Amino acid sequence: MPTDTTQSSQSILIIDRSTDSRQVLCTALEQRGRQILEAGGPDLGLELAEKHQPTLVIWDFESGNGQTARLEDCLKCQLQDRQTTIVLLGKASRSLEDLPRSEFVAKPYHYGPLIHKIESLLKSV
Amino acid sequence: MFVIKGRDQGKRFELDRAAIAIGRDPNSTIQLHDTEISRHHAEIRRDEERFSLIDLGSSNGTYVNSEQIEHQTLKNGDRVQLGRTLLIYTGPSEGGSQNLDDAVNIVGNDQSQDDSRIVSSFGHENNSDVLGRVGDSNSPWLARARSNLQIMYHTALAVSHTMDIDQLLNKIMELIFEWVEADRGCIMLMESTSEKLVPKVRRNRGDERSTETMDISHRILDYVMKQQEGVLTSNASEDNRWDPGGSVVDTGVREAICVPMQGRYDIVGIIYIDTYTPPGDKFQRQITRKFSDEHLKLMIAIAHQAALAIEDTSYYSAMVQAERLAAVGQTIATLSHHIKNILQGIRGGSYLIEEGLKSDEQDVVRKGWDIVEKNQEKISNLVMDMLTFSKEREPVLVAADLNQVISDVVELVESLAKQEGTDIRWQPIDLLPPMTFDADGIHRCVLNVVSNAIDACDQGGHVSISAQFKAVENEVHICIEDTGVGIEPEELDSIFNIFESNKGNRGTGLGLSVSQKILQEHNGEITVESQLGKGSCFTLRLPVLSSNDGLNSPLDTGDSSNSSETIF
Repeated sequence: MPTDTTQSSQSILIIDRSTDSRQVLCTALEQRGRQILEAGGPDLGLELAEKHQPTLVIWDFESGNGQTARLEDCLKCQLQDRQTTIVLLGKASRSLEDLPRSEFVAKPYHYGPLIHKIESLLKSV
Repeated sequence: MFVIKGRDQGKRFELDRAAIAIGRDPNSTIQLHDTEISRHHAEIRRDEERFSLIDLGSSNGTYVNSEQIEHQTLKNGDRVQLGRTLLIYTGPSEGGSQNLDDAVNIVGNDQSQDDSRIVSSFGHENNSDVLGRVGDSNSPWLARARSNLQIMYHTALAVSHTMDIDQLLNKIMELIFEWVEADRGCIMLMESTSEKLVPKVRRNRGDERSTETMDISHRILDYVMKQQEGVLTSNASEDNRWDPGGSVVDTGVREAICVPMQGRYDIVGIIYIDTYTPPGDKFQRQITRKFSDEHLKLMIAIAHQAALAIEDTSYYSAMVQAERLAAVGQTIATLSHHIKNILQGIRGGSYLIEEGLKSDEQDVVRKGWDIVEKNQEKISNLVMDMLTFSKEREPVLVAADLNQVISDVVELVESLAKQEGTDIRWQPIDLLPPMTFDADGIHRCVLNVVSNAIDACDQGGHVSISAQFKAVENEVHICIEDTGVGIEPEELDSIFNIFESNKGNRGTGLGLSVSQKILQEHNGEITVESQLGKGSCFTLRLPVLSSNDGLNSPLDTGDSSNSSETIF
């Protein structure tokens, strides 16, 4: 349960195809009192981002087919407009390199340092 | 660009960029491991459909078709030499290919439209009849010409019938000894790395097993290689191309023919024949000329044919090697990707276990452990699929209960299905004939297809498994039907290809390939019908083999239910 008002108003959106990764991040961040939204792909991610306007997005980026790329472009535009902080996991597209307020984490990553990074980014928002 | 000679032989480089750097430097697009190549040796630049090769001031120069260049537009088939590395440029043919559909018309089967008739026919195996017997003509010149034509025809046949270089060279030497009165012969090939001539075939007339060392004059070899022309020596002491006091006279050789094996691009070796009189005997025998200019010309022609065949064999080997390298590269890349994702899962599960233990939260530990366990299963499946796919295996046929095997599979996947919210239904078959099959293999086969069906449902849906005995085909058909997303029609042909998967990170692309392989080992097959948005039905057709057909039958023990041990 979040005890801090700022903390409780901050939400994190996790966009990752991997059920395992989403589960680990959700569990670890919920343990720290964070509000978590999760999406298995950019289509649901776009929908959740529009609806809930998360503070931070953790996005496991994968190059997809044409349709996925289109959705990713929409999501990117939306996040850029809102100045949302983004943590990009894995191999990033060049089109995402110019996203402001974004951090890149190469795969394979360790969850401990990733969680610390997420926490420090949230504190700075 | 295709490397046909050099340390990187077999590598293929796609020219898919505007500027392609070639050199020893690791950052070069085409990195060549040749010490005689500069770090930044040359560059290929693309201008629409044309490619130009530019030398970047290299130390040893850049050569196209043996001519040193600074800037040259490449044409299809151009050979590019950098250091000791030889590459072939393959690109679109100039002018493109002609469409002759309108220029040639194949008339129909209706004989009323076609008044031609076959007057005679001849097969290529009757070549000697085509060319006529050598002694038939009154003209010695014509007889010789026919003879030579026959020899060339036989040579062409010989080189076209084998892709094995050793066999080819032996055949060539055999043919030479049939036509020329040589006492000894040798074929040497140029080794690509050391650029030295290496003997490949050696023959002595009459004494096939002679172990006597054959001495060949290096002066002759040098001359032939450097001048790129064949030589005939009929009397070494009168031939002023080399020192009469040199090696040829000392070795007792009276006549020798040495010709270069000139291929399309390079000399690939030499053919050498001689008549040999030991130093003690050469003044006792009556010396007559055995070799003439005709023989020399014929040997040059034969050597050229042989060289072309050797080049074709080498390029074929290089191509096969390139394809193997590409396949190995793709396999390694795909497997590494899957293993990386599995390890990431294990890492995540381990992290949760650690966090749960620190904060004494059992449910967090449990979540972590479930993730670790699931990924252990994934890597086990991946390894087993790799092993099954890679091995040429004979199925271990034992009398087994197919109902039991499928029930084992269903039990195994129940937890996965529950997790995904997918309902599984399995109705064992009542009238099942006695069968022998590889229980482990069929278990794996069914497991892969059922797992795919569950994944296709993607949260909810149904998977139903049924089996039927088809008496007419003497087969059991196992149908695995799902209410999942279905398969695109254009993908139906490729779903059994290795590493084809539409499950993203969840799929290895091995499952269906392995299932198909296992069924084919049983002389069965797997078919699929699918409708987008509605689901798919996979049918595994397994021929019914009775226990009499099986190789390993435990029927004598009367125990068929325990005839196989599952690996899980």
